Amino acid sequence: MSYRIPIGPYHPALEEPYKLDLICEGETVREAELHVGFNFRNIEYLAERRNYQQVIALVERVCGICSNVHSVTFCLTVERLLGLEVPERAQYIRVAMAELERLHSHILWAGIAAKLIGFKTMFMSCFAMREKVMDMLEAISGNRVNYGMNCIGGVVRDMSDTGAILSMVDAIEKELVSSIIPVFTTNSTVRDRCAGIGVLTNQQAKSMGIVGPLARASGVTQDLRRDAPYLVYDRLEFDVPVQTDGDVRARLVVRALELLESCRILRQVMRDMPEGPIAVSTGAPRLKVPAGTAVARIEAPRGEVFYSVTANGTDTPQRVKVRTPTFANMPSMQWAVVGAQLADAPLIQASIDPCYSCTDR
Amino acid sequence: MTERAVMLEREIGWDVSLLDLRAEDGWEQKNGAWWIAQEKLDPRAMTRFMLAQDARFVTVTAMEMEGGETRLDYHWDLKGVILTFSTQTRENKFPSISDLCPAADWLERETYEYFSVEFTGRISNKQLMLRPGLEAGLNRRQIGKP
Repeated sequence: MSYRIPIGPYHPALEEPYKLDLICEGETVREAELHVGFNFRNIEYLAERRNYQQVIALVERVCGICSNVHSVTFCLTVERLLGLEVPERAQYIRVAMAELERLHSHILWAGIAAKLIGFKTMFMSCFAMREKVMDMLEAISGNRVNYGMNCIGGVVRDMSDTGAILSMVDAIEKELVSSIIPVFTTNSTVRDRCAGIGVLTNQQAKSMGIVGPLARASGVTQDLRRDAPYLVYDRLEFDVPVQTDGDVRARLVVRALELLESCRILRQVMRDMPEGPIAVSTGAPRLKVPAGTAVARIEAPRGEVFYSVTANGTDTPQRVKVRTPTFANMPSMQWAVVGAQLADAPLIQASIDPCYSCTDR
Repeated sequence: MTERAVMLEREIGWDVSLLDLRAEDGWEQKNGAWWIAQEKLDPRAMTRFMLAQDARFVTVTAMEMEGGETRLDYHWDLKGVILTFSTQTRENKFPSISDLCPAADWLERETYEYFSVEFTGRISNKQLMLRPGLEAGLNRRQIGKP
């Protein structure tokens, strides 16, 4: 006989609201139903009632973790409509912010995963490590969550103390290599807890159109930084970690290795960042954007963020479409938990690294 | 549109010269993507073809048009390039592709809730973002007017 277990909308494993109904037979999950929309704010509609400068602040509120990604993608889209060439230094700064954001997002996720695995010490270590990145972001931007770094045409703050950033990267990398990477890649307890559960096959990943580390853990190789480069990523050397098992462990490994790649990118950015202006003048906030539609996308910590902006010649966008990575990734949860043990369901859903603030917008 | 493009569109429902992306067939590269406007786009033929090319469905962007119709931009990723098929609804209805492409399921449900576009052929339009009792078409301008 099957029975239904409702989990959420106040979730025991995550801080954000969503609801998952698991239909089980004994301890085995046979079916899952997802319910989202508890954080629905209709940011797309609100964006069509504000000028372009105000929309930057608005879209930064789409997500509380990868806030910078949203403002950069929006700015890139509008800059395309305007035909603006963003100064090189600003592009390097945007890359640095994006990689710092990826670092703290992946470390946050590693901490949550460790907690769900039952590895509380690692949870503490991850969150202590994440604070170093958050402190650095605060030192650069003055903020810990919504950085307010981007404007149409560049960035609003310079990144002057590159030495401090490099020292932080050294410290983070040392801890990654000495503790997090070995634990997530070779520790037998972690392996036993994570291997073979929550599997998404390569075929499933492709048909669901999933993106980011979740897709790369199922053998989908795409990383927009390499395959559709933006900003100055085409000048930087980095690897794209890919696993093929498609299980929770593969997701752990991909994200753990991506942390090292972010450190590698940050070092190159600090080394190569040229002197020069950090923005071009656009006349904001009275900026009017010529009619047309443009798109832009960025490899956020959770995968592809996609923006489409339609302008009508006024100072207010006619349409702003936001497709976040979790919106693409979350439906796959309904496949990943089928056949799993009920006790594994929280870890499986966390392994997707969901963000409901993003999903619901 | 060229004679060749017209012939192809008539024979198979849409322009198979996609991979050539020729300007004379209507393709235009601008603003971060390759675009083609096809008022009579057959979305199911498009989907079958794009999936056969190993393309990934990224999203559909809906935008309200005057007269009650909705513009639909179908965005695909093909080897790192965004291809966008721009079309419009017919009496605010449009064929669903979610049975061919599961990635479209949530997007169609969301588009229905925001713009009340009815995607024909769907089994259900189960609520996604809106709470029970809220009317579909939330983002259409006339609903937002005081």
